Amino acid sequence: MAAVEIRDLHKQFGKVNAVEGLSFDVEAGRVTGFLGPNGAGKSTTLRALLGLVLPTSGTATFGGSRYEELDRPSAQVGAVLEDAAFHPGRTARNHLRVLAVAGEHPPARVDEVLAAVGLTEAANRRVKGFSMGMRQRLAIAAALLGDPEVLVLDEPTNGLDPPGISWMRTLVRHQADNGRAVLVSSHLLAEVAQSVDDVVVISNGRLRGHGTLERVLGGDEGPATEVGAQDQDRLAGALERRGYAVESNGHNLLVLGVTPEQVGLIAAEEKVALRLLTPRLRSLEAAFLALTGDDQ
Amino acid sequence: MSPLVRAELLKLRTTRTFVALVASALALSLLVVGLTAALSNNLTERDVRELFTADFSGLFILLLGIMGMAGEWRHRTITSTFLAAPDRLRLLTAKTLSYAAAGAALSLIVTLTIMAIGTLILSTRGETTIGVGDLADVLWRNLVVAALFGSFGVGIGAVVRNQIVGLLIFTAAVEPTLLAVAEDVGRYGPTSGAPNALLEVQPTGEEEQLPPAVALLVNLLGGLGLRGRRRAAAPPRSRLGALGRTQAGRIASALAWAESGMRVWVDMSAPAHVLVLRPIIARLRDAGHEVEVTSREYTQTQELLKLHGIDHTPIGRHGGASRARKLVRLMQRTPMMRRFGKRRGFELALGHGSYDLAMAARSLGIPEANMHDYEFAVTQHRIACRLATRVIFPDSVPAERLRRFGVGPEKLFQYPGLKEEYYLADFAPDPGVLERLGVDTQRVVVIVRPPPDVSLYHRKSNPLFPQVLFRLGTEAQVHAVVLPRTDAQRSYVKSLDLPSVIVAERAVEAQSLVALADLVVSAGGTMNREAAALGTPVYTTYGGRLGGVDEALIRSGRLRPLTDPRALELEKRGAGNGQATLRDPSLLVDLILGTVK
Repeated sequence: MAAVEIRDLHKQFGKVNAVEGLSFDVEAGRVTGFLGPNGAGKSTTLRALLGLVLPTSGTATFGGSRYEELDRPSAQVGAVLEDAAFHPGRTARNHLRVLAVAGEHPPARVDEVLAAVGLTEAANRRVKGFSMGMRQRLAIAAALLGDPEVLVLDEPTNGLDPPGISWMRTLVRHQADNGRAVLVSSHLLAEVAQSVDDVVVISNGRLRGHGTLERVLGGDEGPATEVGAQDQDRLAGALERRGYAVESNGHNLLVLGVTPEQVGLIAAEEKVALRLLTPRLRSLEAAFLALTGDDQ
Repeated sequence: MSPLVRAELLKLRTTRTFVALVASALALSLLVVGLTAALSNNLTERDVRELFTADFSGLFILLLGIMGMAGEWRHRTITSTFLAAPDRLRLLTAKTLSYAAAGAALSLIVTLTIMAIGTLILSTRGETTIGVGDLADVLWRNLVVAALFGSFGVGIGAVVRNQIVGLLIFTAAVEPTLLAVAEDVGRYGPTSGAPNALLEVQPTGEEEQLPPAVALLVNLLGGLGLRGRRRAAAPPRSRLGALGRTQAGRIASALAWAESGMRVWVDMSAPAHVLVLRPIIARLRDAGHEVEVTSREYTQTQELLKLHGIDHTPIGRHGGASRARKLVRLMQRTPMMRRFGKRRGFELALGHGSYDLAMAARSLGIPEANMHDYEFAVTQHRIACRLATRVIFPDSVPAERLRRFGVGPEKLFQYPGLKEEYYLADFAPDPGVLERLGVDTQRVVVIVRPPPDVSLYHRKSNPLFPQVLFRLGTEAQVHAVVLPRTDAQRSYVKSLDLPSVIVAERAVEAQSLVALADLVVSAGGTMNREAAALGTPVYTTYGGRLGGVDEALIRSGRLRPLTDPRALELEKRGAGNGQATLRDPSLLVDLILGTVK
């Protein structure tokens, strides 16, 4: 039984079909990226899963139980929604204390999760003075309070600065490595591509692809590598002679259908000194657009 | 206390809103009370009471409730609240209870402060002050009103999610409408009622109706709020179905009413009411009056009505399993009663302590007689007393004890004796009842009725009842019949396996048993008084505060308080020993009919 099961979910708002017949699973111990352009139905799906909107038909459950049927919801599911908001006049610690009382979690958890998200210093400040990033961290702290088996994060990197995004990736990875199921939605592929195991791609309320990142978005083009060399032209020539497609993005070269190891070996053979060598999921964006853009 | 209630109270304590509202309410109330106390002359005690009753904190408490609920939308915290408590009915119940508590707390602070300052100013000026007892009475009333306002605010906030709009709608639309439609109710609203009290410190004589009027409003709007937020919570249609079926009967009785006596509405909300009101209904009908009976599904009320062949319309169904549902159903009964009573041409309403009837009849302008026989009753009885046109008590209840419930000489009517002496007037005991239970009538027959509290003989228990059982159960010349109230009590008594004890297996004709017994030992008020009326020697093990009726029975030796089972006098009742005292119910009928001038 999967940690999260979406089965033939439909949601209609008036005449608009926000979600049409969506089905997918989220497995424990993996990070699942929930991808799609803005307005694809991601938030609606997550809100249906959390019992905040009533599905028109179909089910969205945690291992078969609807959110409102869970014994202690906050101990089983932690959620951060896009519109996470706090009473501006309440301190971070008091916000978490209220949730700890309501969810019957031990009071000591409040300081633990504050430390886990790096808000210990700001714990006694009113939320109204918090930056976007601090609010997002507080929302994560609230989700972690009950040490839940499932994490549902709706666009968690919105408003975060680069160190914040990196912190979020680490946290999400860590949760999955500890056996939890993590469902992260995003409209930006690049933000999740490095940290997810599986992806679910939707567009216009319909499923476009579901599986491992490589399977869904890898396409037929195989890997790609970005490389910067002292003698860029010589390296480009050497690669092209071996049959690889090479593009220049101004500073560096993008080589399609090749891994960084292969590029490194070729550079060594050619005795070209490298400035930079990194894998690029360039084809991902293209595949993503191809998957999501067809009936827009 | 449920975690949700604790969480809501913590929410309240962790923002500045509550403190700010207490400060504002305190400042305004102090200003008004201070000025009035400093500038008024020749105040009477009533004026002073009124001064401290004028609840200026009402508006602030209402605001607190509205902000507590509507603020969740304003600050967009409602999502996180719903995630923490997915059952919205439970959430709303927790909020309602929390804001009732918060309202009472706010009012406590404000009332105590204005009382202290007001009394200080009045006494330095040599003006009238009132005693601690009166102050406590005023305080109690203010707290109840404040608690109702708090939960009322939550109801408004749930319906109208914008807190400012919520307050405006109430002050600009609901209250004026109420004033126009039902002045008696609307005038006690928090925004016009409070300023009115502010302007005229002179009491109007009807100000005692504040708490029930607010209770009615809360019932109406609170019920609406719960339904609006979660439609699945209650199925309102089906409840109206029962009323719809009586449509034909209603038309028929309306036609009959045109040519015969009065149309009388009787409400029975507890089993005892059936006993008391049955002979009265029979006599009203004999005199040509048209009587319609409404009932509440509460313990055996409806079975008893059926047993006595009294047709009745059930109003307000039983709450079901969850406590929250029960609360909702309870709150919805008053508006349902009101709908029932509307346009039925009732000229008189009659109840025995029914506050639903009192509120519905008052808001419909139907004169209402409310009978009572215990003056230290719960809040709902006080509401019933205040709203009734005529209040009918036994004469053993001292009239001064009733004055604080707003029952003055103009509306208090008293009858001699016990109500049991009236309703048992045409009672004939069934002589076969002892034989069917296998009672040896050669022995001293004792009827034992346990206290109502199911768990009384477990932890923290009053050991008196088990002691009585052991004393009686081991006496060879005694045969004791125990009438348990619950199955738990039944199996407990049976497990003791006492040789001289018989446990009644099902509901038996208790009145016949009492009439034929040699002795009754009972913790129940009704059985005590029935025994006294029927002339059977009776001991009471009742632990609560004794009312005037029981006091009078003890003074005259007809009821003996029992504290030690060894004091029980176990002897057969000789012929002529213990004469029944029975009275004609027509006297009560006359008192009731006198309600309509």
